[in-house]
Amino acid sequence: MFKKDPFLLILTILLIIFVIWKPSILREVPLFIEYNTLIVLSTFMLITKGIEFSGYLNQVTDKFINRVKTEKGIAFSLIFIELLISPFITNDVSLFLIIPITLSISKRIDLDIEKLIIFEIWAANIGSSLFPIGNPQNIYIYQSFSMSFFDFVWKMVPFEIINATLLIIVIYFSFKKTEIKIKPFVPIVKNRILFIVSIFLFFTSIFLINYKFQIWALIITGITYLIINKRIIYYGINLNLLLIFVFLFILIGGVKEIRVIDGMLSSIRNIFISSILLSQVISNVPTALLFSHYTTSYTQLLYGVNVAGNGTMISSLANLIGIRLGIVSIKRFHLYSIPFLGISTLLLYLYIYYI
Amino acid sequence: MWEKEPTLAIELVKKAKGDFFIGNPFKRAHPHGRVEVKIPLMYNGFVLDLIHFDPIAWSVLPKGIPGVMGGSELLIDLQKIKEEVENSLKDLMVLEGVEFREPEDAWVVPCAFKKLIIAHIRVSADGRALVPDYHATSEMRMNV
Repeated sequence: MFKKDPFLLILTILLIIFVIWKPSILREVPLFIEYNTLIVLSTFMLITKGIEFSGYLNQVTDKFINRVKTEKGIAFSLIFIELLISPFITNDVSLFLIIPITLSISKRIDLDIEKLIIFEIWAANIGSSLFPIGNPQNIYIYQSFSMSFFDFVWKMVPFEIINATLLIIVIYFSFKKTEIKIKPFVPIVKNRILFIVSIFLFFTSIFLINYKFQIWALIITGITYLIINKRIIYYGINLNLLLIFVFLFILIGGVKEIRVIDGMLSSIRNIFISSILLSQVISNVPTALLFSHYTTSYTQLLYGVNVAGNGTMISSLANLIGIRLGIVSIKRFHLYSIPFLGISTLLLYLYIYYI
Repeated sequence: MWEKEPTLAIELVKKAKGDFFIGNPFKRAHPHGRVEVKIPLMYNGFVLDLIHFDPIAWSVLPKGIPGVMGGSELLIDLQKIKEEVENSLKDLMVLEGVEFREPEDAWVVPCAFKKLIIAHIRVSADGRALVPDYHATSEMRMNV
């Protein structure tokens, strides 16, 4: 488990050191863990898997790709699909789906595939920001600040428009109008019942979570998948991610009880910029968990941790997945992502403070 | 009576074969020294099957022999193995025979390389769509 997940390994080591240094933390562990976040995370892990295993997302992708006739068209289609599906199935799962498709297209046409994959990683981070369930930090902030689903989406619409527009401009100038011909993919098997049930569970869960019945959302989702497709239960729950959250809750709960650190964090004035900077070093999920205790401005925190994901390779888990899956050069990734982060930070800063 | 769907299934795999590609290999060391090197055979976002590789004899393994004894896990160069299997992919043969697996409700089309069956590709019962190997897909993702 640890061998496959270095982040979990680092957290475990930190936690052991912390417990040795401050054993009293053990008494408070149950109080630090935010159970509702874990419940919501588990619910949407299952639904995401249900939607993915239904095979319908592949059909959507194939339909888009079969219609395009230029290199620019291919890039736009893949990015558009990524923006469209990542809010529903999370940024990392959408990359697991789109990057292999991109690699398979690259076998048929001559395209700067590395550049396209970097843009797909950005699109996954940008698209997933729109919904509370799009990425782990959103699920946490959504739960932690007791926002309604629609409030959350409404807050994120400007973020989405600014970043998606910027991405579209970058893509427009990055690919040529060279004509290409792509032969259609052979279809992947589809499961209509699984798709319909997953969509139904998606909306039912949002409704139940909105009215604070998180546990019922998980129970209904779990039992439904147990009846119609047990594999979803088996493959859907990402235990590593749940453990990461539990360890982070404990660590952050302990850290903020240290007076010096608590004082330092309380004195932070600009959560938007601070969360962007810290995310570049410790990733955006821990940053969201840490800073949520020190701000009431969830918009700044949401914008900060979400835009931060398009920075260094460790600023978002999706970046690491994308880089390894698409075999992207780390140097090239940063060569593109750091300027993109700079421009989108500037635009969002202007929006937050001057509009 | 038993001709239409099997023929469709075989033709479908032949049609898709040109777009098969190799995902990132991963390795697993078992107690008592057995080492498995697994290479995802992928299509359109999913793993179709895992190909096994012998890092000592430097060749793909037939289905049924998932690993070898005595390989030092640390010395295995996964990138080189990936390149080797990628090069072999053009010689992958879709065999003219199928079996039906009732629990999966799918036809299984064997694919061979140098007389060894190295992959089983699942095709839906009507012979019109590929069936991903969800277990292998999850395993591959855990190892990214």
